[in-house]
Amino acid sequence: MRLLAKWGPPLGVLGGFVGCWYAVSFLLLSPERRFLVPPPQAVVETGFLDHANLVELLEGLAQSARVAMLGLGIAAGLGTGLAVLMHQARWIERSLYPYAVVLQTVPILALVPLLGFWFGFGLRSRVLVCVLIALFPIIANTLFGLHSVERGYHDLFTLHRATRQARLWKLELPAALPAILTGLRISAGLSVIGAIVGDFFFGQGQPGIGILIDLYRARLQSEQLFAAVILSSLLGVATFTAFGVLARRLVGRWHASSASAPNP
Amino acid sequence: MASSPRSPVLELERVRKRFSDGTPALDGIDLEVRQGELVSVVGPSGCGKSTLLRIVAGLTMPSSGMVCLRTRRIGFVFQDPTLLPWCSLRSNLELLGELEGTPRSEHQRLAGEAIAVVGLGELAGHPPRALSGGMRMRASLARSLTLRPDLFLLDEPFGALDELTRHRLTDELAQLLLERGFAALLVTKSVTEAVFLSSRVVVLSAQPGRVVGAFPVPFPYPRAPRLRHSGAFDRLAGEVSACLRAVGQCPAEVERG
Repeated sequence: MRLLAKWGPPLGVLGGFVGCWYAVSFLLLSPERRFLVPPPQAVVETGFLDHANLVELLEGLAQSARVAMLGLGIAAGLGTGLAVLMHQARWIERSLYPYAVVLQTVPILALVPLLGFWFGFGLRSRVLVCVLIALFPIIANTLFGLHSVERGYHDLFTLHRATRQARLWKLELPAALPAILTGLRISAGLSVIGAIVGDFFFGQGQPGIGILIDLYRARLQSEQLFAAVILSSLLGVATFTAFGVLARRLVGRWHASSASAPNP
Repeated sequence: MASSPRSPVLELERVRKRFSDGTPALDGIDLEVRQGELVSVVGPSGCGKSTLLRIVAGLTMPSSGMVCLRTRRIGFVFQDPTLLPWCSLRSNLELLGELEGTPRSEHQRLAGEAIAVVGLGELAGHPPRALSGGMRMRASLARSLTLRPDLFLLDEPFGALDELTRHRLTDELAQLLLERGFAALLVTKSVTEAVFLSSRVVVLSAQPGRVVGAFPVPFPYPRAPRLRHSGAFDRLAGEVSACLRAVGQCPAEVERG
């Protein structure tokens, strides 16, 4: 009964979505235009049950996942480091934070040609796109977490003459961990988007799933195109879920927000 | 607790505090706490009781006046237990030793002793979340014990607890202070708690806080819980409450449970 209550509503929505999909495919589109929205079973047969197609998609997906995770890792290190630096003094925060906001607001597509010029059209630029997209949530959440430590704890550390390092490692970073993990969770999804966007513009090297999507679009292979879109979405959902599980493991024992964070 | 007070551990002379926005918090506080003496400070909400403790602890600077503290070993028990939620109870109790740079074996030993003193030995590996409110407060007390303080500063430590737990912890604290002979300065809203624990009760006026009354408590230590129901206790608590009412304390805020 509890399983039904948990999974019933999302499965019901999925069922409705697939029903609409069939309706569009068979009722709205004539057979010669059905390639625009191929029916679900055609997508499954061609995209997932055809071994050659499936291998091609999974290899592309693995490559995009590698790029996304590499970008996320760099963004996590850089973002946390910058936030800790900004937390050390108000003037550092006032100097750097506006540029972090600018980074968030600059349309990434406007930067893509420049990145290509500067870093080439291969892996480096793809990873860089992921870093640029994923960086801000990590900086903002980490900084929020570091600033949110209750005064009582700071008083305790001040009273006992804690060094700045002791305060950072024993109080501020552990207290900020739930916020840092929330930032990572958001950035994990964004870095997958970054990897696919990067694929579209930086085609050199081993193809990622974004390159395959572009290829299938050009060839009008709509079944594979749909299968690639579904796999890309699943990659985003998987990374979001993985970081939710990680957050529960790391801080769920003592922090309510992670203990009850909803999973997709 | 020593019945005859000895040398002063803490002396305050004409301590004034005005916050940066101009709000006066304390106005000319004179106060002395001797070794083995527990002094309670009661007063209306916002009269600067907690500010007074923060000034003594060095967490807030006074605007003028003199604070003479004859020890560096201070145990501060906050209104909240301030236990690190990501650490086990044992790690929490080892924290102050780590911050103060005492040798690892030493602070581990002292933490073990302090856990045993407050009767939480079996829960040493548990996180604070697994403990009840009363247990957390006891753990907070135990954490302060690990530094073997000469002066205890207690900022309404039992204010958030239910009455039964508060009475039990007050009894335990009285026993602890008696055994160890600490000096202590307690800020509380509860007149009963103040009279039961203290050798002297100091009443502050409403903002800015001034000392408007000091009541020596004549009951010898150790004090049995049934003291709370005696006529003499009731009379003294009544006098303190009357003094509080005279300085503008709303009657509902005078807690005599």
